[in-house]
Parts: sequence; structure tokens; C-alpha cells
Amino acid sequence: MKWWLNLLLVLILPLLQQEFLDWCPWVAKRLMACAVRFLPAEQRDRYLREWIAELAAYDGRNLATLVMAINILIRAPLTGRAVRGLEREEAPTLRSSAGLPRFTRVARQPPQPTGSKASQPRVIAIVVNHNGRAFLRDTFRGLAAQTRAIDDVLVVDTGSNDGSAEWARSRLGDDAVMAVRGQFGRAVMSALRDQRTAGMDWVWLLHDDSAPEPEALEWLLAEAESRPSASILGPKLVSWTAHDRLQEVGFAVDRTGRAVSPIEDDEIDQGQHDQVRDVFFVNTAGMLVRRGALLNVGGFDERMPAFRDDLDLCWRTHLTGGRVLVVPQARVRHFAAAASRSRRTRTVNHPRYLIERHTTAAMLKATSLRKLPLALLLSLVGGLVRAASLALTGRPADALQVLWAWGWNVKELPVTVVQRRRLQRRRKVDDSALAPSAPLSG
Amino acid sequence: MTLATLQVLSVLVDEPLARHYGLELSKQAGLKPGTIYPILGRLEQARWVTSAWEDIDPTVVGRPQRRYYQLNPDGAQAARRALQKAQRSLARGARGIPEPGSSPA
Repeated sequence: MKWWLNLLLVLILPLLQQEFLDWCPWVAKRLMACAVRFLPAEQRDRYLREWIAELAAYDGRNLATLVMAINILIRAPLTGRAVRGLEREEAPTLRSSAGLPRFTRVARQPPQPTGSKASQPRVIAIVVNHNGRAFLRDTFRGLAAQTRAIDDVLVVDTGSNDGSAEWARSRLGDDAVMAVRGQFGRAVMSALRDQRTAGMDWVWLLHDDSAPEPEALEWLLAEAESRPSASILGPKLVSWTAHDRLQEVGFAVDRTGRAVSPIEDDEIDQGQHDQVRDVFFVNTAGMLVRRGALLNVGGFDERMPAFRDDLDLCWRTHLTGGRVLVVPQARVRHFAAAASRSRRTRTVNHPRYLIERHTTAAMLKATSLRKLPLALLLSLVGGLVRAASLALTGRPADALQVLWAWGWNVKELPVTVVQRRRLQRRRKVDDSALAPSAPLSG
Repeated sequence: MTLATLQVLSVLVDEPLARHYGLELSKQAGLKPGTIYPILGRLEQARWVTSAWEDIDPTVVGRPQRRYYQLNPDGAQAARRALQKAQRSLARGARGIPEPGSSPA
């Protein structure tokens, strides 16, 4: 009974080993393709060729070649900053709190009940527009009507073809509208690299279909300034058409990072959620975020076009010691054009796929190594159960979306691992401290 | 300037006219393979070194073209100055240790 098992093992193990070694060069090349994505676009071809030639020149065994490839990959962000002409110390996506010189932060530390006008924080509103012609007028009106003046407004247009970019230019002037290829996260990151955001303390992010009510910014800022550890603050999102219908007041998450909202579908707002609370994450529509904190965690993950890019950002902010609050007195009307699939652009047309994909990616980056095996197992089982139930109830296409999301995460694993290393090195808060959020007492 | 950068510079300065590819250079500088590219990127960005593709036909030689790095005249001068400065500050820190001239080669 046992001898054939041994024989099988003796035969198979060397085969497996050989197979693995033969795959190493292929894997190494795949890693190089991932590594060049940390470089500026115009340098990628050159470095891909260079690195593949270097790997070929290495006379080490296959495994050693793989180690060299991993070395290149984990230093790819450094190489990227080097060829962009940014020294390690002053890289803007790193620890530049340039907009917040230390002494002003210390000066603001003692809580002053009567607002001292001397150190008024500066706020820039960044409106990301993509074919938002139908909404932009209301969004601009909302900005113009703010009771707390906004210091600057920057519109980032991501390739609209409905005339909304031209309309925005006609209202705000040419230099207030940037054109960027890509989606929300990339648009915000481009805006942060722009000179106009340099001296700002706070960044107020808005979608083209999110119109703030007049006191929104005043409420958000008041909370922000009274709690120095608050890095991200979100408003209460209500329906675009019916102002008494709640949409979002922040989210909690379960063990695998899946979002849990305290709100039922179409719940009517009777003030039942009107309490400033610590939450796990808030939507990017109407999100007020400390510029220094945003840069410190490396900004948005530009691989995430929409959905749960907010979860990913807030999760990383938690790990670096920042708090995420929802301030329900600040109200923003939100159409949620992408979630209702009225955007009709290819990249954001599969909410289920993107939500699965980005939730898993965020979990892979943020969960501590000790808890990762369990979280991974749970989310794998959860994903399989969801896929199976979707398939069994006659929705095979939706089931495939769940599986594709896992495929994407396997394909993107090298990039995720590099980002994970950078995040975990910056970690200040243990996972156990990210307990379910309780209401604030004061 | 980091120690690794100084190591790379000292190899480059030894033969200012020689061309190196990344792997060879990292071997001579005593760095782990694959760790040199941020340094080279920074040096190239600062215009101390220039790089160019190897002038071969990959189909004839049977391997891909390498990227060769070479110190340019300005860079050679700057590198020498940087190395001397580092040496001076090291010497100050290591007073009790014998001079390089008196130690066996």
C-alpha cells in the first residue's frame, strides 16, 4: 500500500522541481512587466528591455535570476522616483508634509474655542468631471453657496465629450480646468502634483454629480479642526432628487474588508444617523482629506478606477494613525451615476467585479501578516460561495465577475506586494485597534 | 549620498572611459544583483552618467542588447569630488585606525 505512494513521490517531486525552475525565467519576465509600471510612461519600454537583458546576462541559476528580478521589482518605486528626478527624501508621494510646516501644526495644537483667524486652514475643492454636463451646474452652485469660503477650485476633466469641460472652462477660466487621462484616483493624484494644491491644508474631493449643501464645508472643517487626529471626514450623502432619502453615512467593514452600511435601501432621513462617528470608510464624494495625510499614505491606488478606492485609501489611513469620521450635519446630494450604471463607460460598468477586486486588493495590502492567512481564507471562501450562489440562481455572468476579480488580483499580485511593503513599513496602528467603530462621546 | 552610491561611483571613477552594464557594475561595486537601478537612475537624472544601447545585433549574438552606462566628463569630476569628501569625513571618524598608506595592500 505504501510503496507505490513513495514511488510516486520520488518520481513526481523532481519533475515538479524541474517544472518550477523552468518557470522561473517566465515569472521573472512577468515581474519586470509589473516593475516598469512604477516608472513614468515614457521610460517603461527602455527599462523593460534593459532589465530583461540584465536578467539574461546573469549567469546564476534560475532561482537566483528570480531573486534578482524580485530585487529589481521591490526597488522599482525607488527607481521611478529617481528617474523622475525626485530624491528619496523629497518625493511628494512619500513623507512630504511640505504644505504643513511643522511649526504651524504645533501652533494649532492647543484647542482654541474661539476660532483664531490667524491660522485659517486653506481648502481646495477638486471636482473630478467625466461627462457630468447634467449635474455640473448644481455642483458648482453648491460650491459657490458655501458658508465657509473655499480658497480655490480645481476641475479635473477625464476626457469628457459632452461639452462639460468647455462649460466648466467658461465658468471658472481656463487655468482652473485640468485635463487628465484616466479615472478618479489618477485625476486626484494629478491635481495633487499641480502647483495650485501646493499650499493647501485640506483637499475637498467632489464628483461631478455631488452637490454640497451650503453649510457642508463649514461643518466638516469645524469637526476637522477640533480633532487633530482626523485625517478624513465625509459628509452625509443623500439622494440627488429626493433630499430626505439617505444614501450613505459611512461604512463599517467585516473581517474580510467587505463594506457594511448602517443604512437600509431608500431609508428616510429623520436624523436617526445624525451623530459624528468614527467609521471605517467614507465615499470620495464630498470627502475632506488632509493633504499631508493623503500624500503620506501614497494617495489613491491608481489601479482602481472606481468603487472601493475609498475603502483602500481609508484603510491605509487607519494604519498610519489617521481617523476617519462621518459628519452627518454636512449634507451632499449625490447622484451616484457610476453605481446606477448611467455612466456607460467601459471601465466602470461592472460594479460587482470592481467591488470584489478592490476589496480583495485593499485587504491584501492592509491586513497584518499574522491575520492575513485567515482573512485570505475567509474572503476566498466567501467569494466562492457568492460565485456559486450566483451561478446556481441563473446569473453565470455575475458569478464570472467574482472569479475574474480574483484573477485580476493574482495578476496584480507583484504590484500589490510592493505597495504592501511600503504601507506596512509605515504602519503605526495594530490591526486589533481597528475595532468596530463606536459612536463618539463628544 | 548613500554608501551604495559611493561604491558605484568609485568603480566608475576607476576607469572613467569604460562602459558598464548594470549587472557588471553592481558586481564590481559589491551590490546585490538587481539593486543598482535606482542609483543609476539617479546618476543619469543628475547627468553624471549617460547611457546608450549596446551596438550589437541581438539575432547574431543570441542575447538581447544591454544598456551601457558611462561617466561623462562633468560627472567624473563631480564623482571624484564626492568621493574625496566622503573619504575625508570617514578619515575624521576613523582617527585611531592606520592610514591607508601604511596598511598592507
